[in-house]
Amino acid sequence: MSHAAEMQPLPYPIEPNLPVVVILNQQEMQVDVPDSSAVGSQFGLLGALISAAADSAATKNAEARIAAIRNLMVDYHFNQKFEQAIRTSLATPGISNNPQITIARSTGEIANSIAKPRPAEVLTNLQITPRYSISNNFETVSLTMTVQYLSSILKPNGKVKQNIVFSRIYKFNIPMDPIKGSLATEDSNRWAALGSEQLIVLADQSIKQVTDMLAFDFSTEGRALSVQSNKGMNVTFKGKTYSGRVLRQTDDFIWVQSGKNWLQVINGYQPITGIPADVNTKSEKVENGNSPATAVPTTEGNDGK
Amino acid sequence: MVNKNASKLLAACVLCFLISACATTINHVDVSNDKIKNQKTMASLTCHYRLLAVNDKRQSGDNAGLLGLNEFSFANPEDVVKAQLVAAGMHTANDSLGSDVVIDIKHIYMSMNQSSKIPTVVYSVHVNDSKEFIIRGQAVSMIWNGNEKEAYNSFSAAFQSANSQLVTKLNQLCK
Repeated sequence: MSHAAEMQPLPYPIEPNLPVVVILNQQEMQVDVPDSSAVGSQFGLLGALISAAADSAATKNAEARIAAIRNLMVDYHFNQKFEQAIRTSLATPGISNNPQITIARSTGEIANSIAKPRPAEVLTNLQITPRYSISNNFETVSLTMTVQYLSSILKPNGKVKQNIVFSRIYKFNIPMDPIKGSLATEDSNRWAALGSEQLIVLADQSIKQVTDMLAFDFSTEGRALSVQSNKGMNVTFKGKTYSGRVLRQTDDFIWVQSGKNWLQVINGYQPITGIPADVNTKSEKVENGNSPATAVPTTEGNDGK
Repeated sequence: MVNKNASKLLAACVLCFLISACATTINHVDVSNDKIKNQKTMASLTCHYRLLAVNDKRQSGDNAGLLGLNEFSFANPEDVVKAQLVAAGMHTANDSLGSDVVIDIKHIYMSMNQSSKIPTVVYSVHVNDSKEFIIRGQAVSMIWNGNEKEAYNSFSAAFQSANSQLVTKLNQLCK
């Protein structure tokens, strides 16, 4: 794949009958374990093997820590909820009047979803990939939505050449207030102690926010702001400073646009206090089905619009 | 002269290999139940349980993730679960002995994280009319060559982990 040096603004709407592929192949919340292979590979084969073993150990620990959170969300239909929300966001004036949406649940389905161009034909499609995950230190839950608008042509040798016309990341972050001495294991317990109901509220909120970001970014207002410089701008929200332009702000969350052109991203932040008290006590409450009610700000009737 | 030609041939072979290595094609694998096997001896049940049903309740359908360039589709996992639990001493639905066990399969998938593979099997288990509990079997390990055989070993280990945990839990519930 290739792309131009400068990303050009897309038409309004992008296309009346825009082909869209939504890639929903994630089965449960993931843990973002950092890649240490680059460090290890500097020391040859032995370094690479040690690095791979370290990765494996880090993954084992992360998987053990996230198990309780996943168990609490085992009946949550993330992909179904995301599909409903993205369908609404795509059918907005700045994106498409009549989007042609295909859901791809596997790599094979992604390949089948994308039409092959005929000679001299240019085909386009919008690809959307969400990833719901928690950081390796268990401090932040995020929904990262990657959106790419691709064009493809058939080369004389019969192969398809794809060109990235537009690419942007929309990310909604829910950081939990850190507690001194609370490390990854303790913080994973603090997330689990929120209980099933609250974890689902947060997942629903993340889906709503990233899909709203997409619709906003392609609105008249969003497009105008996207091409203006956000250099040197910053905002302090709930004690933390973020670089970039504020696009939306409520008592609970904030959207910040940073970077320019290919590197522009929209990040949302909704800090939560989490469970400050004895984690073990709260965990018992979760098992009894009584999730704590005050840990997460309610988002009902406060969508920031 | 011969050496020069040999060098050219070798260079051409290396180039062909590199070009072909870059062309990635995903291999679709329909998982065969026969290749999911216990790699270690599993503990047995110490009291009577009757497996009323194993239900496939997976949200993602048959999709069972990726390892390397192999993508897996797992059509009938119920039989694997039944066979392993019957081997551990669980009675079938036709028997009249023991507490009733119903298993809902929630997830079966392979995921990757950097250089690790993570096969995962998740059940929700009901015993008689008591509250359900979750069993999560995993077997995280390093990726070696990402081929089908490695995937089958990995899925087998995840099933064995889940079923061993279930047997342990059921034994704890024996009166």
